[in-house]
Amino acid sequence: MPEPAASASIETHLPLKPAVFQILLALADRERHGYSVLLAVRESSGGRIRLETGPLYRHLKKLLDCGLVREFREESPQDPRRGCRYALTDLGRQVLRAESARLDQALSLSRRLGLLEGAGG
Amino acid sequence: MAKPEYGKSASLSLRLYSCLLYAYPPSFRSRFGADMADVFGRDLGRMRGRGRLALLAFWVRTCRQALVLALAEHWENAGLSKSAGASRSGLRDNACRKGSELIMSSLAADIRLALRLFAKHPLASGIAAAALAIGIGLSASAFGILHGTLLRGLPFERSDELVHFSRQNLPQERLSMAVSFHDYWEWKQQQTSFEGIAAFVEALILLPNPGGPPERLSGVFIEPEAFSLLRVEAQLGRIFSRSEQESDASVILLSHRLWQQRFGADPAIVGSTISVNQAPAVVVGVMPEGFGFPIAEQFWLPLRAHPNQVERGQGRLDAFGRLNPGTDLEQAQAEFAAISRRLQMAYPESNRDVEALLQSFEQEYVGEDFSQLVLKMLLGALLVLLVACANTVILLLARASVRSQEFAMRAALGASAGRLARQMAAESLILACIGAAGGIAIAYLSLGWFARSAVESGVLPLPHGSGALFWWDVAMNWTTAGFLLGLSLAVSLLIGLAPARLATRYDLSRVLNEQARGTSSRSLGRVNRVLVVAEVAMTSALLVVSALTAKSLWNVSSDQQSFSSRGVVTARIFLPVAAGGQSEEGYPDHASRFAFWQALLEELNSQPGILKAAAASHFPTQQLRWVELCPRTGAAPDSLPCPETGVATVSAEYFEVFQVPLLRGRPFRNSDDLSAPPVAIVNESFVARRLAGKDPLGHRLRLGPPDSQDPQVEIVGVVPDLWRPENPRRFNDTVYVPIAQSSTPDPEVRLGIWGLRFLNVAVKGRPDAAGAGPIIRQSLHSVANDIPLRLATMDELIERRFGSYQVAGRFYQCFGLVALFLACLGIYGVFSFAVTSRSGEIGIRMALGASSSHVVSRLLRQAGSQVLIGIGIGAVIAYYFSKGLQRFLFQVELLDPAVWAAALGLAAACGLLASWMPARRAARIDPMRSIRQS
Repeated sequence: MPEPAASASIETHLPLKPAVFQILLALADRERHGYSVLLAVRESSGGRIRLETGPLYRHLKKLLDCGLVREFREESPQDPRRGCRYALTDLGRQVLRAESARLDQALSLSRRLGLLEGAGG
Repeated sequence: MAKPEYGKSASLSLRLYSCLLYAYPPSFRSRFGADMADVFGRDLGRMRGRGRLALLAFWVRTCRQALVLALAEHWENAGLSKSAGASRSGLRDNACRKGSELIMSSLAADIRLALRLFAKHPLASGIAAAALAIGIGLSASAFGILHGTLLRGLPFERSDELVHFSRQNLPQERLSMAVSFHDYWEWKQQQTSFEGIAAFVEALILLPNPGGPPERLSGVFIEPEAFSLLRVEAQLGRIFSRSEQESDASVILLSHRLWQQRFGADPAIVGSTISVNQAPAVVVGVMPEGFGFPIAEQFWLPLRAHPNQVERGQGRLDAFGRLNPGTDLEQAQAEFAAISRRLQMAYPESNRDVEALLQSFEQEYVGEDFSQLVLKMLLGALLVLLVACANTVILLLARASVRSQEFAMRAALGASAGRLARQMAAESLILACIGAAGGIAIAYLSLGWFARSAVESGVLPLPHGSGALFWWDVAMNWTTAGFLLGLSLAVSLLIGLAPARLATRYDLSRVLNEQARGTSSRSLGRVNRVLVVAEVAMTSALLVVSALTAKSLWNVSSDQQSFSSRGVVTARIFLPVAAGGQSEEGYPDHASRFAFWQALLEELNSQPGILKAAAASHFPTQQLRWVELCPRTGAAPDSLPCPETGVATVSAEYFEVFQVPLLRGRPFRNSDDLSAPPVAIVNESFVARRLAGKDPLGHRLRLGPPDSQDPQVEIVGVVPDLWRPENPRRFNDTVYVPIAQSSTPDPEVRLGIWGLRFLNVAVKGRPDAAGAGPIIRQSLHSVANDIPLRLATMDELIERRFGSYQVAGRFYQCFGLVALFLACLGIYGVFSFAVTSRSGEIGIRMALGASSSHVVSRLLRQAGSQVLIGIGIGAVIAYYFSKGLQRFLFQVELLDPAVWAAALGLAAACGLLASWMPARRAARIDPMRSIRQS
């Protein structure tokens, strides 16, 4: 359980925009470089979120500024194009968890009300 | 970090993207710029496989995002946004706010001053603002059309994965062939690149219309899996089931529009039975609003196309598929090329040289011609805008130059360069804002006109018919408004740049010296010269294009045709076809259909209000069906497998209705029927190209492929060419054959009349009689009940046929004239200003003995050299510009010397005239007074 002060700072970030949520999800399993984040978001959202370079970096800048994501640069002679890599911070993981729990709660309510019947879900 | 390697064409795109990155604040750029360029490069590589339209849409999105996001970043950096301020420390926040308040208050003062200047010279400022409004409005309209038609994309999930299939046979120059039943099934079974593929084929149905003849509607027969590939569900009810497709169940899906218009949006329609082609059919569902796949369909019937039904190579289907995730079009093309090769080897008779042709679904239906027309329209509008910008820069520079003493003094007293530049920028901002407001009005009106007139009149050059596609939406919307505002901002920067730079470079002693000498600034003169050259270049380019389209419109006008359309009313009549196309009530065979047409013509010809009535497969100006002509006749090149000729099937009265004189031989007679020897009439082009030097009368030819069993036909008459082909280099041979002898059962040589299931009827009414339309309707009714017809005058048909030339022509003429007017104003302004600012220098020259003609010729020489350079550059631009428009030029050679000379001559004459007027004024300067004044 996070501390009360920490949980308050987590709450200030919620709810997340769909694109931001997908970016954090993409970074949940491993660190990635920008293009890999882009592809992961498009794939996991089934093409519904058409994230492109400009918006991706604006979101990343905000996530970095808020401390939800950290960056580190890895020079690799094999792949000179590889630039910055991004990873979730502890705070980022907590925010992601809190947002997932929020969505889960909303989803269970919808199920209880029978809203998802016949919608393929 | 080493420089990434993306290939040559990508490096230009990357350079462009790097330029776009300059819109972001330096801190953002230095932190993320390199990574962003890298990610963009990889993403661009992925988009290249998806066709030109997808790439264009990608660039538009990228530019829009760069502008919007960069603006937001700047906003936050300046501390103007609440969210940015909240995350900063209190001290920093206050400092930011104070700074921004200061900026805002001085900006308000600058704007007030700019408005006062605007009011002081209302005519000059008004003309500049109006010119900007026209340029911005035209550009935004062209962008609105581009967005509404090309960039919007299909309204389906991941629509860039949808691919259209057709076939091609390059050695036979058949660039787009329908898919045969057998090929479709082989493809379906062998392919792995697609999630699935589905077929459809166009259908016409008759719906009973209370109180009138039944209504003819267009839709498609389609396989049920098509809907799942499109990711579309019925709005009401459901789509067809597989069992309904396989059984003979008579079911129909309605479009939302048809449901609303014909069935009063009654939800109980699902499950009820309606009459379709005089047979009952169950409505299983209603599709969502706006869905009209593939073009603008009103209903969907289950397609039953099994290869068992026809021989190999027969059957005509359209097909599309959805690419598997991760597969791109190039991979799919490679797979289908391999399948095509296998089929060529296995079935050489039906598949020799036949290849599968895959392209993005959207590109197939929008087509290259339309894309070119719209893109060139945008380019033309942007050129007009650039001319308007150049004009405004000239005006602002002249104003800045008049105030140069004031600026120099302020700079000397300590005003910063930025402060002075901001004041100049405020003026350009005001002009751009007024231009944007006017532009919104112009764009709103012209987009409304396009949606109403151009789209609905069916004149657009689209590959599958000329009506609007179902996903189009041409209207003033947020995207177009955003483009307009972005463009206005860019215009404001563009026109503000030169004056602002000038304002920051004032040196008090130099300005005072220049004023004392009565000469103008050297750098200002250089900028003005460049502007004149640019204006003349853009104007002459637009003038050449508009002259080419003017000649094209002149060629299109009916005076150029050798037939008369006056008083001719036409009707398109289809005999009813049952759903599925297997049988026809009442007209099952050729004989019964021929009897119907004969009875109708007799009935029409016996009406007192009618001079003559004829039936034909094609009317003059309509695209003919091309049929092979074997054996070889005349001097056709041996490389061609068999020469082709246009064929029209006509009744005996055809040439009388259109008042076409017979040049030689005899007309068709009623006795030219199946029992008489087959005859034909040919046009002059046919005689000239095929039978050079021979007597055409009595010559025999055979229509159809080499193995055709049809009897040879004998030429009995020669008529003039009724109209000219669109491309002057294209052949215009035409063979007319009588309807009474068109019994050929070969489905490919049905001469466009579907075995007499469809014909056009043309009627020339007596000038004193009431309209011929009601008479046709009445006569048809008395011959057979419940047959729908579509009436139009011949003039309307001609207008529809050539409408695309008119759309293109009017746009470019408008562009050309506006640009010419603006350029004249600009050139006049530059030279007028030069004369005013150099009046002291001219006065001294005249006092020292220069004659007034010497002064005029000196100024004209200067103007002439600038105009000549401008025309040279303009000619090059015009050549590349008009190359893409050749499809829209009727009977016009791209390099027509008369047209080019006229257009460039007009540009030169106007340029010289606009500079001659101020020059003449200079010659009348009184030397003593001008020296005293300066």
